[in-house]
Amino acid sequence: MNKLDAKVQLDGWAQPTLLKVATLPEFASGLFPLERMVLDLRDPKVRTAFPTFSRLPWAGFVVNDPEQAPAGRPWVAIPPETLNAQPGDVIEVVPETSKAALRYRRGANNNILFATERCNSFCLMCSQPPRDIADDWRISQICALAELIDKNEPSLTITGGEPTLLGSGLNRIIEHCANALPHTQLHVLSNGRNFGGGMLASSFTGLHPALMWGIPLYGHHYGLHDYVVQSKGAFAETMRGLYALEAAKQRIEIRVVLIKPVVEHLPALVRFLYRNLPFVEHVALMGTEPTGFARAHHDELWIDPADMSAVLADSVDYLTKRDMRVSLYNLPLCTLPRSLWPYARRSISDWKQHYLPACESCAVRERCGGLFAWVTPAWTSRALKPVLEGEEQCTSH
Amino acid sequence: MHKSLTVAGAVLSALHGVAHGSDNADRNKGLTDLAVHDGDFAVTLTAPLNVNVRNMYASHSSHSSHSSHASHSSGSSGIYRAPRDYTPTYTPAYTPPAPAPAPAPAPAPTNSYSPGIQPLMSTGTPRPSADQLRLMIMRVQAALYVKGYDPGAIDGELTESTKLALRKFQNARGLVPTGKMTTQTMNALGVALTP
Repeated sequence: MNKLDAKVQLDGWAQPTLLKVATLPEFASGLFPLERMVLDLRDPKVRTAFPTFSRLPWAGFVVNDPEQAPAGRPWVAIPPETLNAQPGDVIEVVPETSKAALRYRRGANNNILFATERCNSFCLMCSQPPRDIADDWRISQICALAELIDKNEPSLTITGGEPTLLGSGLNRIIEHCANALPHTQLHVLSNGRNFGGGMLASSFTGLHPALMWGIPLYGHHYGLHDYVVQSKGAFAETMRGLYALEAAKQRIEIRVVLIKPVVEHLPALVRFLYRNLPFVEHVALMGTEPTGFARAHHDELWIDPADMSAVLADSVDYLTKRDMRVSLYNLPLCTLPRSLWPYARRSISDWKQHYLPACESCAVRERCGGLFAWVTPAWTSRALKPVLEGEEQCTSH
Repeated sequence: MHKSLTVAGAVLSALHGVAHGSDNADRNKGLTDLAVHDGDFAVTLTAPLNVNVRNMYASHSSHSSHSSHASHSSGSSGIYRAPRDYTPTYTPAYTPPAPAPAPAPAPAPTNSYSPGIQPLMSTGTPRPSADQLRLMIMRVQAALYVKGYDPGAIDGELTESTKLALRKFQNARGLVPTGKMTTQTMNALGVALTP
């Protein structure tokens, strides 16, 4: 696990600033304004081009040691042990708190644009407990960030909180991404509740060339779904929202978190999905992230993946036989029957991906998504054990 | 197009697999499914970096061609020619350009009409300012250096060693070794022509 922010030494910055970390290739490309880049003087090739290079109007410099910084120019010291900021990444320097944070990491498997901390649901297993604060400033921050992201970035996820609470701000963000990053697939995680009424869903028609909505549904019955999201009427709103999104020609993924009450009714849920939402492009069945509210509700939520096998196999089989695409997220391979391995994705973001000591000798470690870094014994499957050489070839089980 | 090709390719190889033994059928079906699935998510950069961009740097074979634009005219050909009697006037140190308008000298009219009369059509590629050109040459030098060529110092001067490095790079990429910053060369170097 890597830290995403750290206390650092810095000077010359007047306000929080988003900056692209630049070495020679980022400079050569000419795709980003010099005034929004920090020249990475930690790079030996950059130092050979010094000092002519340093006279360019860079926003500032990244150094290992404050003494490296050119006099009179803004700088931030990020020695390797503080933060893993690499060329192409976007960092934010915050002079007030003397912090630097990674906002975009080149080559990471899951870069997110964090839309808002507000949410209208209070899911039992929420990994990002909402706060009711005014954070509309994030709209312009995300737009500024999008401008500094690599043009060949394959995909980004907009998440929160509930992004539709930004109102037309979400449209602005998506439109801005379409302009700044037309080749980047955009995945927006929303509970879908706000799409039910009015014209919100249709306002996204044609806004972006590769946009997909990830919407959670936790039950085939309103009672179960409303209980999981702790909000009365949420099931009806989300269902109306899903149909509104479909009518607005939006691409939809259904996301199901595999907590105990949901797993108990999963066969009914997948049948409900096929009968009522056959147009969804993808169904993601996801292991629980043991952080946030989830930790407080361990007893209500925890079910060992080893005990889900039969239900998962039935659900995956049911959906695939009906041409509905399904994937399994956040579940280590050793906890799944072999027949489900082809559906398992390495879904845990690399910076919070973790393996246990037992995983060292595992033959399929490189194919396995591992565990969340904050996993505790209470959240660890009893089935966790290394898959031995030879075992991984076995297709029947 | 690309997506349909990906999928078609996968289907073909799946059929191929079936023809060679049914034990692979499941696996091949899986591959086909994956290809269909991936097709939806495929991101293809079909366009090169610089498309429909006028390259105002392509004709520069030497940096010694722009600080006073007023003294000559390139006519309507769009090709920029350096005045023969030109001597460089700027100091070697780079001065950061002012944020908004290009620094003096004012750009010369790109046509031979008298001032105040606008041509009906644009008559050619605009010229870069001295600072724009220096910066672009620096970008090219940096790109050459990163790719293992030796352009000399990264100083924004189109020196003999920079031109030699450009020609070597062009040769290696099957481009005409002109030693100039043509659009093709810039695409191959990964240098954007837009600001």
